[in-house]
Amino acid sequence: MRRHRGRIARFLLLLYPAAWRARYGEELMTLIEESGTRGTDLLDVARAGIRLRLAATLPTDGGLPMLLRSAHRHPTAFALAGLLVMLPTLLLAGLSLLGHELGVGPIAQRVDPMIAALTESRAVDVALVLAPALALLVAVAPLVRVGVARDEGAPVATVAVRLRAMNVAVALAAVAIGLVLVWHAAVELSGPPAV
Amino acid sequence: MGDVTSDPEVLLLVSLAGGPKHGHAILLDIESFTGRRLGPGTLYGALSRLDAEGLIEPIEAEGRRRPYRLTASGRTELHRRITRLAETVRVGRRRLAPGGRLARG
Repeated sequence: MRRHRGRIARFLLLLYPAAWRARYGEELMTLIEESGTRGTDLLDVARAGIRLRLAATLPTDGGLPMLLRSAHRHPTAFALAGLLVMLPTLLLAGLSLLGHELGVGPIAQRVDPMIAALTESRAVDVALVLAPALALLVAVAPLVRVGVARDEGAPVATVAVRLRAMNVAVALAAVAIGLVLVWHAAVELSGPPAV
Repeated sequence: MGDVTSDPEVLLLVSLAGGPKHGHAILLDIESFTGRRLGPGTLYGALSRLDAEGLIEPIEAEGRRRPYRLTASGRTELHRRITRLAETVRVGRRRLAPGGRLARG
């Protein structure tokens, strides 16, 4: 367990700014090993890392500091993470569309029980529905730069947008799945057609 | 609610005022005089800020351990902070004394 906590602590070091990690990372790991890692220590390490990361991204002497620096540095990783988040919903919605809207009978027969079994759990149902929204946020994060610049000493919010094909594709896919889910919910709410 | 000595930077400066120490020794020292254990992330966050401000400095490593010591400006800064703290304590004591607030305004 203690070894696992050490590994988790090392993983949590990724929350710290790279320059800080290079300078103090090994010293912090030595301290964690010597002092005996506790559960609360891991929370403390994570909290301190987030604070230092935020402090490193806040404005200093002007310029255009980025609040989403990690996302900007790893846009492809964020696009893939978005895709991964919505993959279950994408697969189920895709198969359901193939089965019911395009009339591929065997697929409908297989996917319907699968969806029914999965959505029996309210938590799984909600997670599947919210996944495209979360995926959209993750994919779009590297495309938007929000920062604070100084204009004659006064802080001014700045927003800049850039386009990256992979992130845009994942974002559009997330929107498309979201629309399919909304359309599906609307059909269900309208009830069965009158005979 | 934290107490007046909960500022990790002050605690770290006080600890190093007693002589150079590495991370674990600082942690144990602070625990001995406050009864409270600082988290390793909190300690190293404060340590890196003080290092960046030139209030403490690293000395020769002892294996994987890196001891730090107070600089001259760190000593001045600690003096300034504890003087301010002592003044707060003095005012608090005076106002808590029976009739103190009314008697002295």
